[in-house]
Amino acid sequence: MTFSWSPSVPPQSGGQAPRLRCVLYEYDGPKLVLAVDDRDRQVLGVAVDEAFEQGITRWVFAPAPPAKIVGLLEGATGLRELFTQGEVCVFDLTADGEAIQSWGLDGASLPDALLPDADADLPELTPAAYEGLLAEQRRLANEQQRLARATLLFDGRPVVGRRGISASFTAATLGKYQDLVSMEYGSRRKRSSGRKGSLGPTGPIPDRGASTLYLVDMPRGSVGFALQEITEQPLLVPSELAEVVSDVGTLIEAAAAGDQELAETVADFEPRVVSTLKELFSLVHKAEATFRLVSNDRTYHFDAEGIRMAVERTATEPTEEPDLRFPGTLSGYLPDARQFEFREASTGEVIKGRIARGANLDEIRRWLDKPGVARMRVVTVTRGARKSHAFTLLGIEPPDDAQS
Amino acid sequence: MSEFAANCPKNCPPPAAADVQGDVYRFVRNDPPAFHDMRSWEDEGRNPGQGDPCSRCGLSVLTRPEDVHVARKAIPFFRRLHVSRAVLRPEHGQICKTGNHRWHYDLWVRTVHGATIHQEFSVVTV
Repeated sequence: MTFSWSPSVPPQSGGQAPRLRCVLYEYDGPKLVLAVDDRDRQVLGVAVDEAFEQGITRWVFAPAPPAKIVGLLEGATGLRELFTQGEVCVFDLTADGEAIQSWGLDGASLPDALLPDADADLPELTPAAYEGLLAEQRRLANEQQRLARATLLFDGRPVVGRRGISASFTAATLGKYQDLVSMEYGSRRKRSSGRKGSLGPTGPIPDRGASTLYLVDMPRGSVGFALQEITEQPLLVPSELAEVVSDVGTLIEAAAAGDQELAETVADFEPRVVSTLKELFSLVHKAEATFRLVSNDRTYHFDAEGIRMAVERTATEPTEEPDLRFPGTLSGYLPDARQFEFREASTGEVIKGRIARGANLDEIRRWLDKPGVARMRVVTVTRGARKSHAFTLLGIEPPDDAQS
Repeated sequence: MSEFAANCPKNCPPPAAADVQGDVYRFVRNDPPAFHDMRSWEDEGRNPGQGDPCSRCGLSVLTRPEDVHVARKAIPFFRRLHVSRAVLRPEHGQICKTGNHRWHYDLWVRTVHGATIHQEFSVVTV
């Protein structure tokens, strides 16, 4: 008996066979397993064929993050789906488990004969095996969700099909993204430790080492880079770095979304962060690239037009008036959303914005429909002749005539 | 001569094993099944040291046709093999559920039937 199918691309000789972690189906030896590959990723492996006379069994291994295995165990994810969505590795293994040859392939290119049926379920496990594996995979999935994760996927001029990407572009872009994350992380650490002042325009970034993201994978399908925080300690809540990665994703999206969106978002960031954002978009624009960013669990798309507009919006550094006074009346507020509406006395116009994180909500509520003087931080984003303002309510004080 | 294969460890089959009685299904390479289709994982010297030593010297079998379908749908390896069925009696050996798969059994064939057990099996369509 020989193999019924072989990949059309040349194999790599040998390679390190994934290390067995858990046998899900045993029949004269393992036939469906969870294993760990040479990149320390959890993979699902299935025996697909054999060359019996040579004592060789062919296996297909696919990345199987714990969340996917939870889905498989709970019936939400099909067995075949794990092998057809993304990169797989085909291994020819000897009776001793040694790899003779291997191939890295797109799972979608595998023939049906080497895949579980479309309606195949995971064969039923014993109750003890099922409960133990589900608990373990849920724990691992939760731990991973709490870590900072970001994936940058590129397209455009620096990318050559699925074959490669300009090394200098990659290094520069990933470096700028890491700078953004490190600056925001450093800024937060500085604030939380009670140190005053903002990050300087140059100079060292506080706690930079703690904000390091590591390249952990290179997803197939387009050319991309998966970055992740690595920590030895199990996490019970999302890490601070995970929150920073989410916020930085929101900032990048805001720059491409619109003037007002950027003005409202940028108010929460330091000027040096914004200046690095500008460098990131300039770099991508000059290289004629586009990209997608997956920050933790949110995906943002940046096409050529969005990138061009982001370059324009970030070309002029936003200005900030830290504490302006507006006489008028608080006409409405949403405490949970931290939003307010304030009717300015002199113009009758309604100013809308957000309530500052440190503001006293009970104090502000007292001024509903009463004349007062609102103190606001105002950030202005300028693009050409256009100016967009974002207002952050710091507090409300009695009118000047009441104080005298 | 020991009651079960010489490469089985002591206390194998395990105390939970019972005399086999009734239908068993086994994937085989040959039609009709041959002696070589009844070789255990240990007999074939696969993955030495891996797995439970007692399971290694047993023959994997299923007892329900629906489990054959499940295996073939999920694991392409089985699709190139024939399915054979035997109606076994206690004199043939002992059987026990083993491993993480709920419906997987190991069959330990008594030595007196070791050379001829394949003759009890016939390739079937399930």
